[in-house]
Amino acid sequence: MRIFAQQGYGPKDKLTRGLADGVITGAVLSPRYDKRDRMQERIAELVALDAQVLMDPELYAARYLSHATSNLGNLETWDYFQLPRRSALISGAAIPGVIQEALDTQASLGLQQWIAPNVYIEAADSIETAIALNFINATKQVAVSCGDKPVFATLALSREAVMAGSGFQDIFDALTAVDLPPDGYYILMGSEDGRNNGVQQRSDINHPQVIAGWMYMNYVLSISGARVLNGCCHLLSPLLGACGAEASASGWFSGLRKFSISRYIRETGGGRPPTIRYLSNPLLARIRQADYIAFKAELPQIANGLGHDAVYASEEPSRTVEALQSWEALSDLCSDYSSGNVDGDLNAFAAHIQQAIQLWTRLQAAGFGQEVEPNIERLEAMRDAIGIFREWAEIA
Amino acid sequence: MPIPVPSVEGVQAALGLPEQPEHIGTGGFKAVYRMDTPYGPEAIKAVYVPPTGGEDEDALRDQLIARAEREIDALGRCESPCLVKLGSLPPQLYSIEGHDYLVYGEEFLPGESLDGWIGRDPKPSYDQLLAVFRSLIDLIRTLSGSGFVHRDIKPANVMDTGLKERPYVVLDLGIAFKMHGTELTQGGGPPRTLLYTAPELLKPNYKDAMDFRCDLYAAGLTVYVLAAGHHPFAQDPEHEYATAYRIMVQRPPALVELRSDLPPAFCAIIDRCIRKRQALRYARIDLVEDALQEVM
Repeated sequence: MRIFAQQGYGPKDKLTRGLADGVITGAVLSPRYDKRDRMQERIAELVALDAQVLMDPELYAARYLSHATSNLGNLETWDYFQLPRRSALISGAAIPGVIQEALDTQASLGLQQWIAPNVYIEAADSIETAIALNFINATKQVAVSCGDKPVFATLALSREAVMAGSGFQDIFDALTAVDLPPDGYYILMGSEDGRNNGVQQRSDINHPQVIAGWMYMNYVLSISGARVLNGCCHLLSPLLGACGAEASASGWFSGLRKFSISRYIRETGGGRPPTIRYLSNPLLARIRQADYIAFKAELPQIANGLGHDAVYASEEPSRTVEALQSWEALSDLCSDYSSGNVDGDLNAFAAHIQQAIQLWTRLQAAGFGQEVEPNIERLEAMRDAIGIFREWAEIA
Repeated sequence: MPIPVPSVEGVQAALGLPEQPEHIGTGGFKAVYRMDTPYGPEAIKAVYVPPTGGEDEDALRDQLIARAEREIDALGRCESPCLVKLGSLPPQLYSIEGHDYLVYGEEFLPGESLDGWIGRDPKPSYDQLLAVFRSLIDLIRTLSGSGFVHRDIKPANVMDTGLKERPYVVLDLGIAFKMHGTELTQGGGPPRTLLYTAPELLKPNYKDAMDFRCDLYAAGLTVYVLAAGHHPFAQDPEHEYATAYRIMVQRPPALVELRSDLPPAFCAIIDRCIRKRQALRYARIDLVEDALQEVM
């Protein structure tokens, strides 16, 4: 499985360095952070490095266009970024036009793969689900008329929609039967916890059923012949890769590692810059640089043994190096669990989770108790998700 | 409801046949006869049409005539070597021995239905199972391409003809469903053959879920039953609600566990066809064909 960069604020040279280092192979760009001219330059820079480049039109955020505290950044400068009246979406009449504007924009930027727009699904049995299915139904046909590049339909949904269980699965019985399916899907799993920047805290995404649902989407869509790209996905990437994902995108801020629709509303109050962290594959966790030094002295096996480890040995590295280290680790981690044998990969990753839990337990015994419990809880959620997914996917 | 079955003499007289036909079976609202024609042997189907009378009787009569006519129309439009073809006798309403029947001809196929394979020793070979499955997939492709869902694929409806070019032929389109159109069944009720009914068709909103994947399920289950020698969900005797529950909930053993002599990849294809969730089956017929190509 490939790792892509999820663009956010302040990319500086992270994307080009990530591509040059070979720790990412593509990027999902955000028109929220770039106006058209800058976007065009950025695409050219990345394409010159043989990157797979896509742009998420983020039309699901257009629901906040008239919101008093909207935080849409540059999105409002893009011509396509507007939604017709809801009644026109419900009837379906306006949908092809909306898709066409977004795809024409991407075509005019020279992108060779497109992400089609869609609405955000709050609940499995909502009218938005029907509208979203209409968008997906129309996606490929509109793409053909726009020049027929490979097109990913957006599937952005809240964790509440996934928690609907059977109702959530019903969506995919319908989705896999569309007459003219898109080439792939760009999946965003929406947290309700968007303002929680505490990296170590369990987010509501880290719920066994939510993770299982995300795995189920990847599995069902990939066995149906679709390519699957997951946005804002971080440590769940190996699970999604095991279930058939082609790529996962992740970025340098928590909002780029975990999607939340509420990020398009301005936060009240300030925050402090997040701490620089090291992604430890053996621990399946992002740990502070100081902890990395201390943990490694106790248990050397918590280090990945990869190229960027050395930078963490003495001092806290830059934000750019942190992003590169994360992508490097993720890429290495996912390569072990995306062989195409779903059952075998899940078994192997379950064993990896168990080993990570044991390492955390040993760290706790050695007196490093502060972050142990939330991490073990998070890992147990991943482990339990595998069981739920197996049940839903009718696998062994 | 048992129908009045016309005698062979009555059929011969009503149709003006030079020779007496042979009664070969009765099922549902149909009696079936074999007769020789200048084009070869044909199966004559006489569909019972209730008399006119009250409102209900008239409605049933109209429905049965319409259903038979649509089945005939569908057979005429779905060209597949794996589906029985229409014969030389065009559909026409006849009065036979005081009752009305819609009578029409289909080709007569030699051989026996695959029901006879279930539980036999030795069990069907891989080559036989593969040929049956490929025939059914070919038929499903044709039907779905014409907008139909068969809804009644099962061993009893598949003839083992012994013909080299058409070894396995499906006989009946009697409960087929026209997608985006009028259904062929009487009243549009749920399908009547429970044992091979896909789980989604047992739900109240079954019409929303109906597509070729229902037939894919039945085709996979047909091959599974032939291979295993028994039905994975049925117990005899039991109430049909118990069977329906198992169809909806119980996962069958992987086929390879029952037939270790079969290629695991082939077993995996059959297992996937009979997944409970439609989304877990093949989303397109060409994906099944690609998978089969890899096995072969």
